[in-house]
Amino acid sequence: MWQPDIETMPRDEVLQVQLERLQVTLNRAMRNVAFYRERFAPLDFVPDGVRSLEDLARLPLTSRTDLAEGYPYEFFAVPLREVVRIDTAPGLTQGPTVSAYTRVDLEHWAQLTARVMTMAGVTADSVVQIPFETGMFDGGFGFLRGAQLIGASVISVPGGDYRKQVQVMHDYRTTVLAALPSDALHLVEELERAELGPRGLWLQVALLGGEPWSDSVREEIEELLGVRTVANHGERLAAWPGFAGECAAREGLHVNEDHFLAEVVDPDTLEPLPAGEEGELVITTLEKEALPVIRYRTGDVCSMITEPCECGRTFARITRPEARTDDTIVVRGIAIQPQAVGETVESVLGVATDHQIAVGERHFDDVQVRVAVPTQQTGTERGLVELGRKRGHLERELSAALGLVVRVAIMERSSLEGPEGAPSAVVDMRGRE
Amino acid sequence: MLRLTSIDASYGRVQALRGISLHVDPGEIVTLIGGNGAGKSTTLEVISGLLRADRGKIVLNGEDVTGWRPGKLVRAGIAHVPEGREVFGSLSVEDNLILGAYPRPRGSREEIAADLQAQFDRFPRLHERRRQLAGSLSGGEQQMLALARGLMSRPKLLMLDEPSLGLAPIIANDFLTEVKKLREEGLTVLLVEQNARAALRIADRGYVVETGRIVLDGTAQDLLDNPEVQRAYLGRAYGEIWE
Repeated sequence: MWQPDIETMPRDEVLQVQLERLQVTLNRAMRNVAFYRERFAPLDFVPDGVRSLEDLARLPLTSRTDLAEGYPYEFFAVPLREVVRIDTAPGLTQGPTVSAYTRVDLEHWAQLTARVMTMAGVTADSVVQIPFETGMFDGGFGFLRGAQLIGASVISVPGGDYRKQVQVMHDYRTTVLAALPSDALHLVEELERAELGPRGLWLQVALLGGEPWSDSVREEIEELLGVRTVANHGERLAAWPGFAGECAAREGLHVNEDHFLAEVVDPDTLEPLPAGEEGELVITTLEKEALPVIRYRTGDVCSMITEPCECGRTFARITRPEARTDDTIVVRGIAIQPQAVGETVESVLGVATDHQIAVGERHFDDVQVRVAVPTQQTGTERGLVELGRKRGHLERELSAALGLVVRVAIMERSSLEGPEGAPSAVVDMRGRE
Repeated sequence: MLRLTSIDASYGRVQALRGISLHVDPGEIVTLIGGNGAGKSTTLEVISGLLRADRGKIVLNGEDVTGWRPGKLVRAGIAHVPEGREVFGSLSVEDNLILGAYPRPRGSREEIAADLQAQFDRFPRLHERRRQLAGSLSGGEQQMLALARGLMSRPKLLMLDEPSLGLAPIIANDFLTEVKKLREEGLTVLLVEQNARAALRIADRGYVVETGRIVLDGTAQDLLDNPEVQRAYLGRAYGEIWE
């Protein structure tokens, strides 16, 4: 364990620490963040009426739209000069979401990631390979800092060249892969292509998370990469990575409850649900200085596990989130909202038309936007050439906005239709069989 | 060892504390810092029973002690060294110390004599002046006497209210160094201080109190690094800062 005193704190101490930090967070939010002041003032019990953790459920939820409306810094609880890092996440959503950190926030984040990595078996002797940017992208940066604290060796190999990834893994005897499930699957393909079995590498553990992945995908990766996979879950506004991670027991992901209050609510009634029942994950940050959030709706579906874990950690667990309550789809950690995609399609093509986002057809992280042929534009040859040009333009715009390679296909509307007739906004083929 | 949950307290109609929650674990030095009138001393008074809380709970070593009277709390192991020292000026140093053992059960005369000697060993200056009237001691010496007197009750939790007030910085620092040594002997300390820098230098954790509420908490190092704390309580020059 990275911080055994904290990770095995008796339950009553966890609850006391959570209450103290919740009250501090509310006091500071009311003082420094106009949004929370205005939102909570009419209720007349914040912060003084919040006397126990149960009172938290009386507070309204914060949505991603609220945060987008507060862009760029309405939600910062400290002066801008104290914010030492801002991560503007790529994605196509109704509004931009940023994550922001003070110096102390960064230190805390590194500790949380170190906990998650230690839980997975990373030690100072590990060689950790991170197949994406470790600079400004939260995921890579987070793993880098956690690994540095532990004292592990870190190799960052950004870019999508999986042949190079495998080469480096072989040459430097990488033992730990910290990546997205998509990366692991690409590596599986590359190993097959190179006719190099898992025995040809020294990989022991794959720390995976950042996008939904099923148990069958997990088994595939474990078998074909010859690794033990350990799941972790991140949330940009909490810690990514570092919010929650699997221990050796691999029955749920321990939430770092001294830094985050996790609730599960019914996505329709918004009422809190008891442990064991699935609902939407709602997070309240307890220690974040720059950008605290109070009852933030993550959109992820999971349930809480409150039974004691055999590993000895006393922090509660969540089940690994796979589904979402909204229509946002997450690929390689990037959020894609069909409505935002539709706006881009419309602005490039000049006309509103049916569209569909298909994920996972060719690879786990393959994104294809299928656009129904706009009927006015297919009449003439010139119309078709123009359409082809626009298709290329749309591809480039979507790829740039998402930071992903996006394919665009123009199709007959009937090809988009599903069994119920109207085309569904999203087709997710990553479930496998 | 000590846990406060959502304590409200008032002086008549003036509400002094709002939703104060904090904890002190055995062997820790925890400090409450904040400006004048923030509610720090009031918090100590609620813990030692001198002021009754309006709402909330106090738990000492697993027992609910909310509403207990001061005498009972002292016997339960809390020692409160008040602001301004409050030594008995017309009594000798030695008598002050003996009085400090008052809450201890009868029949422990030898133990008390041994503890008295231990305090003299710890504070040789008090031994030199043991027959002097306490009121004739210097500020620093009185603070030492107040501390030693508090220790005579063999407390589990020692609470110090603004020990550095009115003391020259060197004396105050010496005093706090003594307090830190006590921690090594297994004492748990809750320290209220306006001199945030001195307090954070010896503390493990701290809470910042402002207008009756806790607005920040963390390890002493986190608080020392916190720009708000630096601006408000560590005297960081405004010339260095521009918003």
